[in-house]
Amino acid sequence: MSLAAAAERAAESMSDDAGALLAAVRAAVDGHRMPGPEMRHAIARLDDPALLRRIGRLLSRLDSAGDSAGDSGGDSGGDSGGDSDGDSDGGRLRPVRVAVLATCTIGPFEHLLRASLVGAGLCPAIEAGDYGNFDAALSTAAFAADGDPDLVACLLDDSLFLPRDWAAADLRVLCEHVESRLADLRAMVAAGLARTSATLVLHTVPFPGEVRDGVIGSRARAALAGQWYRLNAALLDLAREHRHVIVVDLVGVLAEAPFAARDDRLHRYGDLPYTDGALLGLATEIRRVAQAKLGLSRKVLALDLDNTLWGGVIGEVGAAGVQLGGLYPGNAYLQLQRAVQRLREQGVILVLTSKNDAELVEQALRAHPEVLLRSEAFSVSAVNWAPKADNLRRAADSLGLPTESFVFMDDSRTERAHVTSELPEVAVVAADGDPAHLVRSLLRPGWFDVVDITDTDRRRPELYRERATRTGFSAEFGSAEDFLAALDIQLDVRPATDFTVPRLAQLAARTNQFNLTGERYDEAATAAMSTDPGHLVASCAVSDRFGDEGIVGALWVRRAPRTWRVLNLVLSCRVLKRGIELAVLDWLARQARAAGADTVEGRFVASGRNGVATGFWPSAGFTRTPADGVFRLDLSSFSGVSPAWITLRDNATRTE
Amino acid sequence: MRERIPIGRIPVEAIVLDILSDVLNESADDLCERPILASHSWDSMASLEALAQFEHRFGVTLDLRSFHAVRTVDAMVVLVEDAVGARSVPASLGVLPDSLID
Repeated sequence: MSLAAAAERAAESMSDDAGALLAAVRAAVDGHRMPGPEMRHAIARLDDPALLRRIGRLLSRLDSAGDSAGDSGGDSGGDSGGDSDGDSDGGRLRPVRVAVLATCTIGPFEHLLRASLVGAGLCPAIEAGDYGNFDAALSTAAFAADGDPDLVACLLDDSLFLPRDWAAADLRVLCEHVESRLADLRAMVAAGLARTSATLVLHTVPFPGEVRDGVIGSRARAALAGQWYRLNAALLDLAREHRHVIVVDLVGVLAEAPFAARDDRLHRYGDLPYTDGALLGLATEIRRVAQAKLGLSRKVLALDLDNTLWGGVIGEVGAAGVQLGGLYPGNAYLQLQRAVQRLREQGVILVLTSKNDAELVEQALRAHPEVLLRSEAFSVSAVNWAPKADNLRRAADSLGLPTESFVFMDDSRTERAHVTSELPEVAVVAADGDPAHLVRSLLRPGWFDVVDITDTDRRRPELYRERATRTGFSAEFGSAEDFLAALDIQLDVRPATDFTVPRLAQLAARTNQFNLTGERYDEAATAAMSTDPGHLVASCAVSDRFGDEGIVGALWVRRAPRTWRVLNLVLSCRVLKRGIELAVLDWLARQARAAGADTVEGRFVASGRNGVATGFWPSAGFTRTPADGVFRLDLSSFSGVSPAWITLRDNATRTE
Repeated sequence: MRERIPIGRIPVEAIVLDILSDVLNESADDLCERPILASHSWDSMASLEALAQFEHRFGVTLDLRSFHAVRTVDAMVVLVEDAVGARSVPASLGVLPDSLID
């Protein structure tokens, strides 16, 4: 065998998992395919920066604008298919354009970011800014050659804020310089934001040890560190000042990282101040932002019980014998229950999936004094001996959510492997090993991140519990109309307010099934349109006999004197098949006619995921025009399309 | 499941070649035929990529000045072998398992 042949075999010296994953990614790239869901989850679980860097470099050979990109994920529906070779669902990855600006060499950050984004189900097109051009690019919003990216990831280091040299004898000068540079950055951010609709992602910056340790006076050193903390606090505040700025706490991430954050050799050699591990930490945070912004956050947490939510097997030790609370390891399981409870308070829907005797589990959930997550905390409970993948499918049906929105946590490697093999789109969290790590294992990936938490988020677990009840109720009726009439549906459509704009932007990002045009207006754009007389943005809230669904729909309209043009109408999959969309359109048509318009115009843009909405415009009385995908309603002959079973609330008639 | 081969049983030069081949996107045969790194796309980014992979794969820290002075594949092998020290097995392919020998 030649040396070259031996070199080809050298990959065999890598670990099984790493070598196999690398080979699979290479095969996918060679076949011009994005990795499939199973491969992506394997990438997402990686914490080896060297391997991720290599994977990211391989993935950079794919043309992200090519046939492997597409629309995917989010709030609603979708196939659960895909394979580990990475072809079948590559076409459903959500495209994301990211520009990277840096105050140092970008280096491997681009590859690490790409691998992280692909691992999260995104199809990234990354454009790296020129070296040494940070200030100019940020100030002029010169991020990308062909229009605004979705995100501008800023890689910052201390050189942005520190002078080349400083005098230890008078630290006031150094502090003033830091403050001055912070002011410069504020001005650059403001100037850039005035020219772009992209979201800027900034981060806190570690205080360099060589500056800290260069000051030998303890009080002076503490004062300088205080200045640096104030700098980072000011950076974090930028997110409150600007809707299009998100700031991640890199310093906090690095404080808990088990590796060095800095590499002095590479800093001096190539202006690469951070290690690959630190850059991966930042890439992970930016991936979480991208996931949240593009609506790929997960909504459902399906949990095992034995050795996950408590220690021990209840079938063997009885309800009183499980480890929960008290000293280790019971305290570790209690901490996990607390963490899960907090997720629920923020809108994560809980599903219980346990192979156990249901009565015994019910007894423990009801009577064990340390249990925090009682039965009512779970929107769906599947305690039986069925395969867990089947239970997850049933839970998804019952909740009306796709399994793509599920995270599954279980201590059994076998159960996890079975779920991964049956439902590769489900994110899996391992709960085996030392229970002390349970909370970190669940939270660190940030599967549930959203940009802002809305009232609907907080109420979601209860809403979905009601929905599961509603699904059972529907079986009692002979016809769909009888069922819908018995629901007593109330619809409230009203113009957007400052309070509802975040929820409307969230619906734009997350909704895929009933999304007529695919236009995803973010919070800033929605807010701007909501106050512009030439536009109308409206929220649609629904309630029925089982409870209040909250805001489940959003409408963006351009208003001209004679024609009102629907820019997009989206509706959560929670309320599909009830005629809500027709009632909303009925409301809009009446508003337009009252304002003196004679036509309402709408568009349908097929996305591959919105087939459920294909026939919406004709069903609402619109006629097709010669223009592609454009439909028109003549208001002079409009007589209403709202279903009889929906009541429009009185306050919905207000337009401004 | 595929058996993992301990790194000590693969010649250092084979792994160095594999890494360079991956970084430069060239076949190992091409690198053997044209061993001068500058004749490939050996720029600063490629060299830093290779450095990261060498250090990670062999668990060593290379001296940057020496690394920067390397001009050929052979010299790179020597540099890495020196860093790996006793773990390197000279280019005898006989140490590979039978299943890996053509």
